[in-house]
Amino acid sequence: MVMPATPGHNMDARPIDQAIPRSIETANRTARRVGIALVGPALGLIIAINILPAFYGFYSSLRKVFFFQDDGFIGLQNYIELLQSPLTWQAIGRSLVFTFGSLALAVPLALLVALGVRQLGARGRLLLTVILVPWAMSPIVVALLWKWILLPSPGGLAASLLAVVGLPPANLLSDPSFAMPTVIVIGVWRTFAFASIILIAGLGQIPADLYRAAAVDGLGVIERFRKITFPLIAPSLLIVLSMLTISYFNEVQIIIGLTSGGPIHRTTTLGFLLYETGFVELNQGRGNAIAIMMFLINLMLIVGYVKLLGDKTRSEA
Amino acid sequence: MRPTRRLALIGFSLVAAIVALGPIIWAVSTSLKTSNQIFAVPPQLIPTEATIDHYRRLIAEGVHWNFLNSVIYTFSAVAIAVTLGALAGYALVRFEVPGKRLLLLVFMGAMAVPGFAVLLPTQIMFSNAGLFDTRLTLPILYAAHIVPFAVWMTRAQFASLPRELEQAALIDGYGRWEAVWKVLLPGARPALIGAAAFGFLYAWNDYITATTMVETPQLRTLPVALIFFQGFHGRDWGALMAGVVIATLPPVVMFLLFRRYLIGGFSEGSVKG
Amino acid sequence: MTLRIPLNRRTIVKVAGASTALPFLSGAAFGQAASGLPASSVRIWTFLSAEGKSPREVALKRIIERFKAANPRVSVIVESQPFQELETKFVAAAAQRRAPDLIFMRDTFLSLVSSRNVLADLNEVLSADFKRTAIPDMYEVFVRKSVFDGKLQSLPLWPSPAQTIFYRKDVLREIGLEKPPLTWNEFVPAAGRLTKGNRLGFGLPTSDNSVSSFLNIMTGFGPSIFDPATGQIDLTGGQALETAETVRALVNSKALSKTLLNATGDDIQDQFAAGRFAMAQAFTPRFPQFKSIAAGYNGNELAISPWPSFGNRPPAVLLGPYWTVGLSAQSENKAAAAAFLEALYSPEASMEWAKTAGLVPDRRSVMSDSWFKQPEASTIAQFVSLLSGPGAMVFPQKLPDVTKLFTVLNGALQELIGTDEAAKAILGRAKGSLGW
Repeated sequence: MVMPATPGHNMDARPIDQAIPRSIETANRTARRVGIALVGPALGLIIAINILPAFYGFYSSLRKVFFFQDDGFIGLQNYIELLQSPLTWQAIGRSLVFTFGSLALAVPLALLVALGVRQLGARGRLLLTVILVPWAMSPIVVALLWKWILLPSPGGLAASLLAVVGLPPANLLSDPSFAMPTVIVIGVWRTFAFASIILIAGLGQIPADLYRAAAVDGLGVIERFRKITFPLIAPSLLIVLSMLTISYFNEVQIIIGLTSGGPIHRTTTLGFLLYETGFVELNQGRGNAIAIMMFLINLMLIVGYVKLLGDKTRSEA
Repeated sequence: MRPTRRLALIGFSLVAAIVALGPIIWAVSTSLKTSNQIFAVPPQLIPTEATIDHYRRLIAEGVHWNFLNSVIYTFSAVAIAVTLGALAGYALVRFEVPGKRLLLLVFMGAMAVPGFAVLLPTQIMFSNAGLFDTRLTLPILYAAHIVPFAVWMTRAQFASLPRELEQAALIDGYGRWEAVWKVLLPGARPALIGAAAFGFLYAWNDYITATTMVETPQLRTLPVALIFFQGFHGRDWGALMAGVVIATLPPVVMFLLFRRYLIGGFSEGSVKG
Repeated sequence: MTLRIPLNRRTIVKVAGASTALPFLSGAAFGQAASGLPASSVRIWTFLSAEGKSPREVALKRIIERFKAANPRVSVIVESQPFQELETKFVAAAAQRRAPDLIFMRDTFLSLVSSRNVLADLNEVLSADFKRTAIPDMYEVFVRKSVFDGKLQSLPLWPSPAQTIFYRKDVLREIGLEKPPLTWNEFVPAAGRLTKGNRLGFGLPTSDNSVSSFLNIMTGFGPSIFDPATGQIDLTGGQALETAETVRALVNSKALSKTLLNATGDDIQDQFAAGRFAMAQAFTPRFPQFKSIAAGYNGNELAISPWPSFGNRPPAVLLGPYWTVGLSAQSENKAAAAAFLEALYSPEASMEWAKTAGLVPDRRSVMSDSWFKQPEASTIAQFVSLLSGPGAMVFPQKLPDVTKLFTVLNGALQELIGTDEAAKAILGRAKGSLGW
């Protein structure tokens, strides 16, 4: 083999006639081995840190574990008790309300913002960075900040804004009718910019000629949106819907920080129920059972997500 | 651009900016007010008596160490995760890895595990391995949570790059790995940066894992340290808001520096096939 | 302007290497190693921080300094933890054999922690001198609660009449009162009259993990509310129902807001400072804090009152939850740890807690010091009289389902205030979810 004299070139570089491997089998075997070696570390890390504890969590969900004391195998009793308790079903319902309520608010908002930002060109990108700031904040920081803003004492920001129009301080976070909507709004505030990014990219893929043709045809703004924009960003919309669904379903920190699941359980989602059962009540066996339930729901959501995008990302042999 | 349309766009920009930035500006304002001004009625945006006492208090309580911890853990985790993830993503696209579909399922399954749900078993595992409450605990944990996402994003990106690129490089006399470095990775830059940004945000902003897996005050991260200002004596809003401001600065700075890549990264990694 | 990173092998190797090396290299940056404690050290888990500026933390620092001066080879390491997590973290740590030497716990959790057999029997580690002179000098009502099957599992710290009512003298004067009425049938209408404009007559936390306002009101019936055998309260009995009716009466008189349902003690504290309440349930040791953050009113108008009672009973004072300090059964430094534990209860320490932090001294004999006759010690004098009053009562030693009790009771209270459902149904549901 000729060693190239020029530095910077890989010492393994071969002249062209030796670039073809000697046999297909060796090549395949080497390729497989290299492939395994490349995937191995990532896989190992994930299995050790994500998957193994999940198995242990499942094992523990079949036992009576309270405050770190394991009292033995009880089979599916945790699950049965959970499914029989009305609080569980209410929690599932509230998770659905929170998730889809947030989606209903976030997606149109993100679309609006995406359209607006695209119209603004270069300034639009600066605006986008500004709008992204909430997403850069930790959920616990978001909860602290909004708790402070919404504090119903006369000196609070929200209370003062209301006072300007002559209204008394509103107990937004502790009023049973307003708690869930408020939490949804705050959750959306934190995340809608992220959705906008994806939609902006999707909008960018629509050829401008289509709009020009539509203008020639005399189509109005709304019609242009319905006939051109909407159908062509459908793939991006799907992505946004899927990612946000998973994100909202698993959101628990802002609820812990803002309302502690109240008032009167109005914001107790399944995630909060897990926190309350496993970390406050310290019924760890039952908490793990809720965790398994959430895991299954998450898995369904992710599989659905990937299937929806399946054709998009599969392009290798 | 028609004047009404321009006006509408400006109005829209203003509203969006106020909604997004208003709360954090209020946090900055609160953090600079003296304690007896904080509850004053009516509240003022610009404090009449400005003070940096709250920030001083944060530093006195060692918040800068927590800040440093957060920085170290986050960068390590992101570096490890993006490297391992990119290697795996590349392998899944270009090599005949046995059980590819099963592997993809495993990677997806890992993303489905809600982190805080497996905290207790993780704590026991780490403790038995002697890794609980150490400098390595959080980098390893965060990296493990970021890796599936990094694999997924880089895989999509690599898949979209034509094989001809590598083959052209091979013909040019580069070895396989040189081809990867010089040709493939630059093309995958958006996905790499997207994964790095996502990972950075996840690790920087995490609270639940950090508070459970690290107990020594000197090893704590920033979000965990902030909670102490909601302590036994009530809430010190001035200090809390100062903490909010400090905690938000690095991600925002990151966004500003990398916004070109970010916006590109997410779009290409997920939309383009 | 965005950063352009050259993506070549050198940069990546540099960055990756640097980042993975960072955690190790930064060892020098950390103030203290996370493992490898010196031979004689005492590790304490508490919600206080060794460098904090609050009065209690300043007092603790001085006590530590005095201890170190007397025992120069012992190092005292204070690791602060969030106060609601202390007991959980301790038991988890004990299960994994890395527990600290000393642990601060809330008395409501003591029986749970004790049942895990992770606390040392203090009778075996405390010095004979301490057992002879100090323990009889402490408040017996609290010490008694720390004894399980003859084993002393902890020492109570900072005795205080934990649950009292804070009120504003200026507002009460408006309706011609000097202090709040001490029977419920007078208190309710008075509280209603105190509601004016944006100000509410009474602030009740309904969302804390270890405080139940419902229980506080019910203490107006005295210690009999706790079943002597099980420690349970009869949630569907006459006393509970009358408590529920009182809550409903408070709502009807407008003293309580039907939409302020989720307040924690912290929320009440912050809103009280802005002048939103005339009276509020509060945790007594927070009195100086309340006073110092008063913004919507003059802090000097703040005063403390016991809870009203039902019928002719004495005004109720619930002594709990309070803090209690235990020693880990697995501690390898029991002698040093016990020595420091004793240092927290020495007469000098008690004076320190009293003078610097305004707390009732653990050692009763210290009260004879002339300092306690001064006006600045008047709050302490008031605390002591509340502590020793006829209405003082403690939680039962073994409070059943303590991790669930307060959540359930607070949920029931929120339903009582916020809905119109029959009280019996609400309480019945609470009883059911506790399994009592």
